[in-house]
Amino acid sequence: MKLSGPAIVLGNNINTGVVLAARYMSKQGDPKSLIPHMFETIDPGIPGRLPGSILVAGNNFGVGSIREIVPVLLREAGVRAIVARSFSRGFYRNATNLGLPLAEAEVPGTAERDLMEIDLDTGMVRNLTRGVEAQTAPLPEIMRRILAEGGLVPFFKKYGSLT
Amino acid sequence: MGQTYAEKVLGRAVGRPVHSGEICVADVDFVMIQDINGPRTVEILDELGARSLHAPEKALIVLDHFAPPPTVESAGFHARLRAAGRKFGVSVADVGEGICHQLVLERGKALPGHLVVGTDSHSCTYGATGAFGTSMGASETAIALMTGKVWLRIPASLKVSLEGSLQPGVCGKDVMLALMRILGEDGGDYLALEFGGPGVASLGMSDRATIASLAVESSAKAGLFPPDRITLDWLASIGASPDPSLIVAPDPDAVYSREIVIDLDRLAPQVALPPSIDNVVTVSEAEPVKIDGVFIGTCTNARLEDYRMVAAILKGRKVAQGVRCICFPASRSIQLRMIEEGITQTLVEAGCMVMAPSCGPCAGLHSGLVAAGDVVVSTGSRNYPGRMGDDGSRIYLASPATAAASAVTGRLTDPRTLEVVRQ
Repeated sequence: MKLSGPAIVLGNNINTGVVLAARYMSKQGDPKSLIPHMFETIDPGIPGRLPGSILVAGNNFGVGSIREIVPVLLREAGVRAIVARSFSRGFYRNATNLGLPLAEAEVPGTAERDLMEIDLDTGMVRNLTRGVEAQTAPLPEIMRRILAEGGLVPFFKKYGSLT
Repeated sequence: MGQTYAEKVLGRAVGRPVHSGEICVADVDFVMIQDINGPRTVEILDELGARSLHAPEKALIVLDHFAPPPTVESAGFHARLRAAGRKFGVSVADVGEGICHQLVLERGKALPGHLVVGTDSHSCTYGATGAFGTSMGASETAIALMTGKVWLRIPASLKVSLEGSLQPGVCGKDVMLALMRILGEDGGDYLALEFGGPGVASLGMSDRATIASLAVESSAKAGLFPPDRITLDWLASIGASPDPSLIVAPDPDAVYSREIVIDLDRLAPQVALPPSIDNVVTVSEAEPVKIDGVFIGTCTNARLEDYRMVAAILKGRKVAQGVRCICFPASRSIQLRMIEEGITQTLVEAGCMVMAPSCGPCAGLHSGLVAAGDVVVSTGSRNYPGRMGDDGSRIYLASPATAAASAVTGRLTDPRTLEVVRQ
């Protein structure tokens, strides 16, 4: 399966508290109401560009608190996938468990709005606008299975155990 | 080939020898649930139709972040978590009992050689006693509560060798800030930090908890102190009995991804300048910025030993005009000892607000947020823009001694420049 969309370019060490400030955790109701607050200390215009996008980040994306609302909101806001040079381990687990595809790859020279494509089967990441591509390492089996079911909870509902 | 401490501990949890890089399913010894991610965890238990848990006595729900609740919504979270505690037979540590990681340590739930997971990113704190402590999201925590198992990748380990011993005015926080300067925010990604070397003998359990709590700030999976005499004496003092067969050490021929050596003899007080915890210099090199506030608290630095250092600096002195100093003990038992030892008296006389145990303003939740332009010295773990309030504020992360000294002078101050009452 291939996912494609315009790039939103982010830097290194994007903290989950920068994706969504912790203080919004006391809000009830539809999580979608929190989307306008995403990335607000970086660029309040980002939420409007999230639908259909592919985030392209540097090192250590998702460092910090392991609140699941962060990958949930990224998915709800329409982010198709995240490409990063590396992911912080807590976020990597959470995103996988919430069915949000991640690709650990460096695609140099990617600019805002470049058309990105990720092939989830081959692991190839392409910047179609600039003709640059990068090969990701294959996902471990359990992660592929969790993603295939759309997340850990649907996986567990189907199989009744982790193995 | 020799095994790292992480491989040994996780091998027991998995039930067979393991190697870094392997993905395994492991048995969990204890699960901690706090009030930020706990509500979602409980929702998932409901979605999955859970009627009972695998081992409810091996879990603890802690109401600490929103303690006491600053909004109607968070009061609702607490009501739901208490109800879940009753339904499933899980103990609930209610508001005011303490910060989650401190309670897990104090109640002897983080034992050497155990796998202890928590819904809070600072669950790596449990590495202080030689438990493998690590954070998990709500989904996998719900499944761990139902099955007693988690899937995880066995991390490679990075060796931190400590030499010498801590000098006066310098503590565990300074050790970890110095390490963050070397590692960077991503230098520990997917690794377990393993602390060793002769310098470990100069670190008490409080310093070890501080250091272990900050492992996650380098993206590490865990921060481990293999158990030694200090660990065993501390566990005995709280009436905990570790399994003697789990008192293990890394093998001398274990393979580490990297070794970092820190000489404690030459370590000076450190400060992480905004906007990141790896932006570290010594306090004496830093510009002595004028400050508006001091926040002494959090799972990183709010233990009795931290407050003794603070009181030694504040005794007979006043918090500077125009500076507010807000203090949160990490647990009720610490709060009581502070009262008994006259520490609370000293802090209040100096002009501090001494609050009840709570995470407070660390994550910008309540009880001391900051405005645009505010400059704050915090003993917490994070200083990215907007962490404690307005993203136009600036947060300097430092030790309790540095925080207290700065409160007195009204500027970022090296604590060694003030005379202290030796206790």
